[in-house]
Order: sequence, then C-alpha cells, then structure tokens
Amino acid sequence: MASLPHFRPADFQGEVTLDHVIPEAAATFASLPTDLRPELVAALGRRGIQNLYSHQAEAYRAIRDGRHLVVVTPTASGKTLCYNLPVLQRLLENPERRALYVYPTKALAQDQLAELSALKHGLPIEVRVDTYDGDTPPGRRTAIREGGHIVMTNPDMLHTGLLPHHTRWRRLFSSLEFVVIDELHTYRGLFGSQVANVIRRLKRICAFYGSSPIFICASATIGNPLELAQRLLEEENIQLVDRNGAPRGERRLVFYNPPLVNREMGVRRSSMLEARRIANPWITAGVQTIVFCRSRLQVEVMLSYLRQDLAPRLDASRRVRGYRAGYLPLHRREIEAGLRAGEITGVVSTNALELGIDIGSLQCAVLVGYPGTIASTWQQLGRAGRRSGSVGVFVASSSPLDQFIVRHPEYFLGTDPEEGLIDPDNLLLLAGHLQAGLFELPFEDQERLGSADVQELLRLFEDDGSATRSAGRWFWSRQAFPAEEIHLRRILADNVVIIDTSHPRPQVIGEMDQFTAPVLLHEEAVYLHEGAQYHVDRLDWDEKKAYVRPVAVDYYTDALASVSVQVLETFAGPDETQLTRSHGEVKITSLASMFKKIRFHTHENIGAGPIHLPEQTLHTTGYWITVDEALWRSFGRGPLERPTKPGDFPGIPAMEAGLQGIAHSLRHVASLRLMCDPRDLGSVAEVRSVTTQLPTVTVYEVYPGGVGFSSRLYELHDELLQDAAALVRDCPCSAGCPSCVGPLHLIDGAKRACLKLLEARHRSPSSATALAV
Amino acid sequence: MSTPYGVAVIRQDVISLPRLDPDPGNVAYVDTETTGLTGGAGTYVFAAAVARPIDCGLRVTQFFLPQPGMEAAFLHALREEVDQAATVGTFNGGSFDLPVLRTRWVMARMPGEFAPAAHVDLLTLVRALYRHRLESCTLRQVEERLLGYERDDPLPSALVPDAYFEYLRAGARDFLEAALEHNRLDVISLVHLHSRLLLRLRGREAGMDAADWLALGRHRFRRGARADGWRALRNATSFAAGDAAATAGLLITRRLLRRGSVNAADSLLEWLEDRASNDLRVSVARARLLEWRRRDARQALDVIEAAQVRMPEAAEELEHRRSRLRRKVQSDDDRLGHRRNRGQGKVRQIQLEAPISDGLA
Repeated sequence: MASLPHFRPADFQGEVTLDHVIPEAAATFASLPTDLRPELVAALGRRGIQNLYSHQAEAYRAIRDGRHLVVVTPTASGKTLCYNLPVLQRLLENPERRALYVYPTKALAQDQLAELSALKHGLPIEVRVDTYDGDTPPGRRTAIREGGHIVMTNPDMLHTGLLPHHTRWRRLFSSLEFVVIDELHTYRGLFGSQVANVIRRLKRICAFYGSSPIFICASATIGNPLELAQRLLEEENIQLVDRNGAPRGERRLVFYNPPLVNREMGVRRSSMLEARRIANPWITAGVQTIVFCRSRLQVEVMLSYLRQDLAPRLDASRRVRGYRAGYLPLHRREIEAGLRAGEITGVVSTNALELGIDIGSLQCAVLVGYPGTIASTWQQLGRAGRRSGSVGVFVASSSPLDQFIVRHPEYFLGTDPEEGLIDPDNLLLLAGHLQAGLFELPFEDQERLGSADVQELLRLFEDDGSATRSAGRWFWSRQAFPAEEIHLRRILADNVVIIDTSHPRPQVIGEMDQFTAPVLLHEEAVYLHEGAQYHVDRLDWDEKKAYVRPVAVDYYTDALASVSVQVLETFAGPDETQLTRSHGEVKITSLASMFKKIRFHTHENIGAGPIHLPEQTLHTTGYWITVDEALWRSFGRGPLERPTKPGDFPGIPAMEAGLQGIAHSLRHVASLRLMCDPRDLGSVAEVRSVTTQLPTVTVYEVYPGGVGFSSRLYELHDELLQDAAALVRDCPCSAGCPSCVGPLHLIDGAKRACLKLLEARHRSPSSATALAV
Repeated sequence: MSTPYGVAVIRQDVISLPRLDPDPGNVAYVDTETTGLTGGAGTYVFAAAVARPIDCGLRVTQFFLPQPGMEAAFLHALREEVDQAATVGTFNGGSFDLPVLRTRWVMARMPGEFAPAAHVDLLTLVRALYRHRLESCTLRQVEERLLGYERDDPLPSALVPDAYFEYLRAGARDFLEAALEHNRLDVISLVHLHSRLLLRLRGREAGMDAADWLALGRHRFRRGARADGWRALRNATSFAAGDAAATAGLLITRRLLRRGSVNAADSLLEWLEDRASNDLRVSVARARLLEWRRRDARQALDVIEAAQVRMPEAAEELEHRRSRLRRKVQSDDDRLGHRRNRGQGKVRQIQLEAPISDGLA
C-alpha cells in the first residue's frame, strides 16, 4: 500500500461507495522461443528483454503454427510484441515476405511506426516499415508500394487507396503473409460492419495474387473478442490468447459520490470541482495523472482549473496539458511524447486517449462522470497502471446513470463488458462493397463475397447497368469509382476552421465538425482551446470559418440545442391500434437556440443570448411508434391528473418520463436485435410529434441516409416491444434506473408508466382505460 | 485475328502519308479508349489504335474489346503490334495509357509485364515547347493550334465510356462507331504532331520568337543537350527585346559565371542593358556582378542609379540596394582617404585598378 499514491476518503465529504484493491500479479514468463533468430534475440536483449510474457510466447507459437489469432490483454501488457516478433522473425527468414498492419487511426499507425523502428534497429536486413495514408507524400508512395516490408495503414486507405489500385500493390499482395488488425474492439457497429466487408475484399485480392495471409487481431477489453474476430475475418481457425502474463501493479479502484448539496433536488456537488480536488494534490506532487472528461468543453474547463492550482509555478501550462479531437496532429504528437518522457504531469482528455496511443503508464486516473460503457471505463482506468501501484477514481455526476453506477458498484464489477456486434450482411452495406469488389476484380459465377451469397445482387446490378456478364463472369460496367462513394465512418465533411485573428498573420488553431460547431463556436461563445479562452467574434457559416481572439473572462458559455423529428415519407404504416408502427424517411433537426454564460467556480448563470445559426439536419431513415390518444388519456386518470385544455394532451411528468423510457429501452433492444452498436441508432421521445400529432417515439439511424435498419425494426415491431417490456419488467430496480428506462428522468412512476405503455398492446382498450399511474 | 488467348477483334487499314520531314522513325503511336478516367483495377481499355509508319504510308490498326471476358486476346494482339516498333509514342501515355495497360496486363493474368522498350510522351514535349502559346495542352487544342486541323467531335470524350457501356447493354453501335473513329483520328494526329515537334526540337521551324527559343533552350538543357540548349538560348537572347530574351540572356549569364567567364558575362549584361533597357532583372544582375565579382561597388552604384532614372516606376524597388551600395562606396572612400593620409594611397590605387584590367574580354 505504501507505494500507492495517497488518497484518503476521510479528506472528502462525499461518499466512497467502492474502495477496492486489485492485488498485484506477478509476471508469468516464458523463455524465448527456441527457433527465434539470434539477431532478434540480440535486438530484444538490447531493449532489456530476456524472456517473454506467457501470452507473447503463446501468440508466437500460434502464429508460427499458421493459426489466426486474437490477443486480448490489458493496456501496456506488451501486446504489439505479440505480432511484431513473429512478423520480424518471418522477414528475417525470408525478406521477400510482406505484412500489412491496419490501425483504426493515422495517429496510432504513426505511434506504432516509432515503436517498431526501435525494435528493428540492428537487424541484419533493412526492414522497411512505412505508414501509408492520406498524409504520405506522393513522391514516397511508389517506393512504399515496391519495397515496404511492413505497410501500416488504416481501413479507409485500404478501402479507397490500396484495394481499388491493387495492381500497383502487386508486390505487397502477392507476398502478403500477415495482416495485423489492432484495436479490434473499435471495429463494431456500423464501422465494424463496413470494415468486415473491406476485409472480404482484401481476401479476394489476396486470393487473386495467390496469397493467404494469417490474420492477427489485438484488442482491449471486450465481451466477445473471439466471436467478433470470427465475424470480422470469417475464419474458423482462430486462436484466442487472453491469459495475460504481464505483471500488474497493485491497483486501487475508488468510486466516489460527491456530497448532496440539495437533498430535495438530488443535486450533488459538482463532479468537476471534486475531481479537481482529487487530481490537484497528485499533479502538484509530480505524480503523473490523467483526468478523463465527458466533453470537449469539460476538458477545457478542467484544464484551466488545474493550471490555476499550479499557477505559482511558471511552467504550469507546460506541465498540465489538454488532449482532445480538435487539436492539430503535430500538437497531439508533442503531448504524447511529453507524457512518455515524464515532462507532463497532468493530462486532461476526452475519450481520445482511450485508444492504444502510447503515452506510457501513468499513476493516477480520474474519471469525471461515467464513460457510458463498462468497456470504456476499464479502458480509461487502465491508463493508470504503473508497476509500482496506481489509483483510479470514478467521480460520479448527478446524472441518473452515474448515480446508478456509483450506487451499484457490484453491477460494474460483476457485469461483463459490452460485446462488439457487427452485421456485414446488411444488404445496403453489402451492395456497396460488392460494387467496390466488382470494380477490383470480376466476379466468377457462384462466387461469394466472403460468406455472403451475392448472385442475386449481381443480377440486379446487371439490370441497372452496373455489371455486365461475359464469359461466365461479372464485370463492373460504370464509369464511377465505387469505393469513393462509401465512407467507412460517419465523419462529416466540411469542418469549421478556427482562426485566431490576434496575430498579425491570422493562425488556424483547430477545427470542429459541422454538427458540433453551432454549440461551441456560435458568435459570442467563449471557446476554450488548450486552456486559453477565445471569444468568437464572428462565425462565417458559409465559409465555415470562426474568427476568434484570446480573452480573459471569468465565465464560460454553454449552448442549448433542441432535437426534433420530421417524417418526410412514410414507407409503411401506421398500423395496429394503440401502439402503431411506421417506418420511412425522416429528418432529424438539431437547433442550437440560445446560450448561457456561466461563471467559473460558482457555476451561476450570469447572462444569456440567442444563437442565430441554421439548424443542423440529418436525413436518414427511422422507425416510429405512436401512442393512441385514448390510451394516452387513459393514464391521465390518476392522482397526477391535471386539468387540460381540450385537444391538448395531459402533460403528466411520469407519462413523459415513461415515453422517454420507451425511447431509451427500444433503442437498446433494437441494437441487440440488429446486432449493431447502440451508437448506430438514436431515439427521440416527443409528447406531441409535428407529423403524427400524437405522443411518438422515433428510433432513427445516425448514419446519413440510413443503412436499412429501419425497415428491419418495422418488421421486428412485436419482438421489440416484447423485449423492451421484458427489459423494464425484469430489471431489479424498483422505480426505474439507467439500465431500463434510461438516464433521463428518475421520476416517480416512470418505470410503471413505461411498462404499462409497452404492455398496453396486449390488453383490450377497455382494460387499458382502467389503468392508473 | 486469332491469338493463343482466343479471338481478338481488329480492324486495319493503310492510309497514304506524305513523307514526313523530319521523320520520327520506327515508332508505334498508341492511343486507348477506357471505361473511366479514374484509373484503378475496374477501369479497362475497350479500344486501342496503333499507327505505325510503313513504306507506303501509315498502317492504322484498331483493336476492339467486344466483351470484357475477351481481354487477354485483346491485350496479346495489341502487344504484338506495338512490339513491331522500337519506340511507343503516346499523348499523356506516361501517366495514363501505359499505367492502365500495365494494370490490364496484370488483371488479365498475362505473363510478364506490359513494358515497351522505349516511350516518348508527346504531351511532355508539347508542354515543354509550346505551353507558353497554348491555353491548354489538350490534343484537340494542339491539333488546332499546331497542326491547323479542326475536326468536329460528334461525341464529347466524357461520353465515350457510356458509348461502350450502351453497346454492351443494348448493342447500340452508333456512338461506339463515333468513339472508335475518334480513337483512329487521334492516333493519326500523333504521327503528324511528332514530326512537327521534331522540327521544333531541331530548331528548324520558321518564325520562332524569343519565347519559343527560350522554351526550347530550357528543354534541351533539361535533357542534357547542352550545345543545343546553348544555341537556343543565344537565339532567344538575340531578339534583344522583351521578357523572354532577357530571361534567356540571364540564364546564359548564370552559366557563364558558373564557369568563371566574368568578362563575357559582363559584356553580355551590358549589351542587354543597352537593348532591353527596361528590364529590372538585367540591371540588378549587372550590379551584383560588378559588386561581388568585380568588387567595384562604385560602378554597381552607377548601374543602379542609371536604372532608377530609366525606370522611375522601379526606383523604389531599387532604393534599398542603392542606399546599401552608397554606404559601401562611402566607407570605401573613407578607408581609402584614411590610408592615403598614411601614405598608402598608391598601393590602394593599384588595387583599385587591378580588377578592371585583369582578363580582358
């Protein structure tokens, strides 16, 4: 215990609901493989490695035996050596062989390039390792295509750059022996389903050139690594290595619930301020600490707090840094290096640092608010993992979800992390990738795309002119370049560029996506960047430029956005009676209407202003259910009934919360049924929808245009309502909790109202009227 | 025509051709029609035309891919025809036609690579020699401006792929025939264009102006033909007026200085300053030469001051240089005066004269 950083619950007024010590674990070593080339043994020796951890040896053996592999071990357990070692060994045996490393982001590829460069130093052959992505200068590309032993890229570049131009990469594909897919857990939901199809195409190209690579996946904590790998790779012979042989220092895990400041309203002291009090002494004492916040805004506010605390020191702004999307890549690289070198003591981050970016092991992690999933929580806590012992503290906010987790630590410790789910056979995804695959290579009669039967789709393509049959094969027959029409992730184009005008020559300090910009970069906003405050003087929405200048004020701004749904076209429905179902094209509108100025520290509201910016819209497909007017009114007969105007629906808080509960539970059960990620769906509950004029719950696809989930939801209507009812009914909570009716309103009766609405369809209308909340 | 890979569809005719002067020699001119302009594995070549000079004229062979499945035979036949010549001539083949053919070669699983022995890309030459005269370097533009040949294109090139797809889908031949004719005329143009380019390359074209010679000179130097390059730049300079002539003169001066011929460079600049009297660059180059090679700040100052009088609009731009030179002259004078007082003026004077008298032009 002595080695653990100091944390005394008695110093804090709140409640510590969990103080759990995960004991240290000794390393399980394995000797270096006997067939390992002496040059590699020497290279490892130079880096101080005499033995392997057991999981590294196990991975090495499996790969040498020709099996596909998925390695699941915690952060900083030497995962990359699991694949680097067998790959380098093979390259030493035969320098003509090739490997392709796929990382979800460019930043990770850059990071691993540096890592591998250190290891290959001193080997007898020049192992050429290159990143190949959008930033690779055209002059270097030819050399990489011809000579790169190990090419590091990302799925997007593989999809639009390598596969459609595979003849230029003949050298790589014909000798490809290993494909490494790191950060496997990121390939879930829509993105995972897309990447699964990219891998199908990759395997076709490899087969064309006569290669059949071994796939090596590495993943952070996830519920179903083997199943996800099987679904992504469509391979059977995959070995799972999940027994971690790396030593773990003692880890203390604390759940902290800030004290109540208003018992009636259930308001607790700000989790930001409490987190600041916890992190500050560590940072001041030079203990490397990471603070995870839930939003970019929180990151900047926390950053300014921690710097103020350190202010007497002149280097405060160098020792405490922020890290989030919106900082420029070079800036981020510099922060990562500073953390590894120990020059930076504190870092405040969004989940951007959750991924495997190498910043070394820190000693303390403070989570401000619940990250949303059990897997993310472990991932963030894992950032603190010093051998000498580490502390991770979760500071709950007042939100119901946080309160549920902090009051039920056993739920957190006892539940498996979420599973990564994908559906590569979604017809629309499949059709897109089939076109891309057809462009890359003609399809033979009866050929499949991975495991998917695509003959019928090919015949459809022939009808619309995209494909031509000739000599028993299908050929692409359009001018278009199909891969460019498919975006693997929901990245919105047209970022807003942030320009600091205080310099004689204006400087670009960052950028922001178009959907978020109205909330953070509206005129008069105080935009925080790396802890400095900037006033937004002008936002040129047409040019997508925000002109800012540095200021020093004692407040920050927070904007409110309202979300609404408009049905553009109904494909089917409504049918049934009390809870109708429909699906069709919808427009989701998010409108930032006003902002508040909030004073630092006291968090009091000191002013407000309107935001005049166009609505942000998302055209997609959705599935919606409406509650029949009679049914809705039937719940009004209860103690909470209020007099209402004719034609208006009673606005009963419990009923509204119940509707919200349906939105929340439906979205979750829908993602289960669809085998997609809950993040691929959104849901909105409206007491009175513009389109239906009725209480309505809409589940929509967050992918523009949708990928066909909505019509499936429409078909699954009965099952969805049953599942949702079961979820709520079987939840052990008494009055509703984040796990069932959702995090929005912990209002008395919400759970009962939700359940009654969901079950109403099984009752007769007459019995429904008898119900009371 | 039958090949080891099956039947290839070709069409051949011989057209008479007046003797070309200069004669490009044994070149196979190739132009392809493709199903797209993006490249990539799914863009294929559906038609190609090869024009090859033979004794009695020009033999034009057209290759057509009646359906994608017959690609191997198509490529084989095309390759056989191209291999008859020592060199392949194309228009933008370096970045388009040849890479696409290389891709097709791989896609059709043909043995070896599609790699012609030698390749001349006429677009590269057009850009080097004529860019200053053309708004754009498309083949259409080049035909009109250099070959004096205008033709109606019934089918804009953006629609060519669709003509083929229409043929595949519905057997529609009208647009396809137009596309094939377009392909045939393109490749015939290449033959004439090459001859015309050779004429220019040899400096035998009538009516070349300073800019033409300058472009030619630069191109010849880039290709390592120094004697030709030198001659072309000299011709450009001899126009003695205009931007291009001055630029050529400055390029010659730089080369002269690099080989140490300070006097020759000086006289050239002086001559240029006399003729092309309103080119700032010439005066500045001369002043620099005088200041740094000759160590004669005073004369450099004279040149700049004269230029300021000649070109009042550039006076301000030259002012910084002038005042610097003036300070330099001043301090030289002071130092000289100081030394003279000590009785060393004689020595200094000799030094002063020395640079002027050495190595007469």
